[in-house]
Amino acid sequence: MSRPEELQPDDVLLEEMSRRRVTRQFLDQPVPSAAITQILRAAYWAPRAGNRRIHHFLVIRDADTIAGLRPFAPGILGLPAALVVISTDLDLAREQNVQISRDRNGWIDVGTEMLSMMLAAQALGLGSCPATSFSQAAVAKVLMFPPSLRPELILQIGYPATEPVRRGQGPAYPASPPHTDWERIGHSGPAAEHPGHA
Amino acid sequence: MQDEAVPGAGTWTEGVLDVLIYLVIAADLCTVEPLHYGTFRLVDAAGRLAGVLADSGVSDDRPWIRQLRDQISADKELIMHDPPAFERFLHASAALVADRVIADRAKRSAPTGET
Repeated sequence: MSRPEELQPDDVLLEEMSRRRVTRQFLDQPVPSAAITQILRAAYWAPRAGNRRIHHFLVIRDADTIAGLRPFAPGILGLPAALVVISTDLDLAREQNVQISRDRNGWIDVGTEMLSMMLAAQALGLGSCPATSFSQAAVAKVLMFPPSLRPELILQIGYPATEPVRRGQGPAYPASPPHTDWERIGHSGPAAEHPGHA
Repeated sequence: MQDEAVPGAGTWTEGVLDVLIYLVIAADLCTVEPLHYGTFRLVDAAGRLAGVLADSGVSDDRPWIRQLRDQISADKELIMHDPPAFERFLHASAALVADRVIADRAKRSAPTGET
């Protein structure tokens, strides 16, 4: 695939973002602690609503624990070398005055943390795959969570078993990304470089 | 049936129990997930069960079970990017199972000594 001319050769982050793919099958190869720590730092850097921190991150690398958790989490298709379970910490939420039953931002923050970790994993040569297809109640029991922790997302991490392939989602650099309008509904692209000054 | 250890997969009973757990959890998830996920969960569970049977050796006289496991493993993710191909794979899997089971039953009902 060709890169648009307006992108410079040092646009490493954009290139990595365009190449990122979900990895579902992993090699039986451990992920070093330093790599996991770097991935957790990426979550730490992620933007959050109100700059709050109400999420807890549990790293699991024990193969027996991962295998035991797998049937409770149908979204885990393969056997990843590591998992990071992102959970809402209800105690932290209360301390930070978050109205957890009405809050709309917690899930968004899970998403920003997830994508930051996935990009960090990619930068480190690792594959990753988010899983939300799991029973929150069952996973909390299996992992012996206290009542204050509610699992929201499980990020699978490991070395990819196969080269990720882009499939069925159109070009990497579409001239106009789908389902996108500019200025008003029905206008799918910019009218001019400086609207109102053309 | 002996509950023999399967390398990397615990015992036969534990493998089947994992599939049972998977099915119960997936049934619960089907109440909130996209409708087409149900089809995927069913065939993924079938692949997991075929894997337990194949790895345990209890189905050595039914090599099609290993074939089914491999076919499901190779094609189940078609649902993510090629739904028509995923449906063709489901149809092919159903035909494979029917063909092989009919053949197995015919073989087992044949009179002793008959080839």
